[in-house]
Amino acid sequence: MKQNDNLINLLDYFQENSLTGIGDDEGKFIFDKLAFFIDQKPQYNIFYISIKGTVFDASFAREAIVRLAKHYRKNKGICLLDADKEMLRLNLLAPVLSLDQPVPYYSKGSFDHIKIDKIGIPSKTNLPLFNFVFENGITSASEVAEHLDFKVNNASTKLKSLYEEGFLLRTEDKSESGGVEYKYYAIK
Amino acid sequence: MAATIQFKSKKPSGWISGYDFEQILKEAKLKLYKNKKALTIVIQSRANAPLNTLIRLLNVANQLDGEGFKVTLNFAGKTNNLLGYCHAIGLLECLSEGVILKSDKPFDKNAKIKATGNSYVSIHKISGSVHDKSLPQKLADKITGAIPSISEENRDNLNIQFFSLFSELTRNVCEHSKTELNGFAALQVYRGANGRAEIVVCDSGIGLLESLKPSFKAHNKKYESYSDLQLIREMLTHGISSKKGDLGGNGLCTCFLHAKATNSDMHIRLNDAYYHLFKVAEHHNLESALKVSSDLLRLAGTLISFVVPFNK
Repeated sequence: MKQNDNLINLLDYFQENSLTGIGDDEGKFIFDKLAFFIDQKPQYNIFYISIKGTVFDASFAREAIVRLAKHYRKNKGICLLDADKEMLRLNLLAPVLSLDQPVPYYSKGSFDHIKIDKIGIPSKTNLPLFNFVFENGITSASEVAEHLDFKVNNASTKLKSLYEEGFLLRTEDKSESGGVEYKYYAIK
Repeated sequence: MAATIQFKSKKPSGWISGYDFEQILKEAKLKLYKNKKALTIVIQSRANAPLNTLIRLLNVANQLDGEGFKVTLNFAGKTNNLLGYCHAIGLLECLSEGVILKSDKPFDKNAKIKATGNSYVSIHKISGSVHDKSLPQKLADKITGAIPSISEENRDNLNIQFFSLFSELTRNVCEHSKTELNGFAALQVYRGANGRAEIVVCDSGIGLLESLKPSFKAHNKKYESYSDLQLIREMLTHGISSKKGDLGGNGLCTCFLHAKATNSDMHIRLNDAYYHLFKVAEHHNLESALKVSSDLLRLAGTLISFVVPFNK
């Protein structure tokens, strides 16, 4: 559910600061602004950045968006909205490759990741688990194991890998045995 | 005695491509290396050339002038095809002050004349020391504003693409060329059935590879043994940053991704070599799209050009 308090309109920052969307200096400036915004709202785990109406180059994209997602990896998720322009998404691709940081986005209601070939998306073996979590919401390893016919240990390892790679977030819960059980959810 | 180069085509059409001009320079390079005092380039009356070639001509004239050559551009004949054209597109204004212009027909270098024909051309100086951040959007708007019939979605995407290419390439000139000599950003829009735009960005600095090489001793050790060709390949497919860590190196890689997305041709001229990537999207890998011309006239700086079709 996208709410206003965790929705960032990048165009507002462009207009308020007369930005051109060029270069890592402007990207770093926006990184600081967005990090400040995010840190003021600890109640949210996912932040949505609308890029509607903006144009930026790869250096800006690397510092303002991809590095921001990497900075919050495993703690908070960054998801782009209104990423409708194919050529603008291309400017995020090289930073996704070089920082090894996935960037999810919505375009015209469809969800995807900034990607090329096998890069930017979950690996072939982890993809069914990612899709299951994406479809079913907050999910434990035992639920994944039951529905996808994995051993629980195996499902747990793969989910942890998706979490560490920046595709999923997780929350701690108490298991029936009294230990810690992680529950995973997609950045969507 | 001045070395002389004949700027003329062996083809009946009279057209001299960038490749043709490189071959002319290659044939003349021994004369040039031997006679380091004067060079006359005779531009034959029937010669015609696309923007890519003319920017190389401009670059060669300015660089040799900067090296102390007495450079003369001699537009031969009473009705020289290229004289009026070079004049109209502003190329003559971009020549260094030391370059001498000669013509059989009197002309005023500073007079304004209007270009004609089925294409739109624009040339801009890029400072090697001051980064003009407004230029990429201005140039992108010039191109997409000159495309007559195209869907708005396609126009928007092309605008972002040209903005991105100009942004990455002009910033490279400011950050890496390390020269006070001006670079150039030029564009030509061809209208009609085979609609396309050609963009060229060049400088007379130390060159893309040379700007990276000092980092090989410090934090890019794995590239020390790479050939120039291997470095180009790596820059296009993965990116190499002269800065430590993950603080750069996305520019050329992004340009290559754009070339792939629109099935463009991409050319890189460095040092004494010319790397041509043809119809990038039609090849499974970079190697099959790439042709290299080597042992050319050694030139300073970097020249990168793209030919982007409007309908991929």
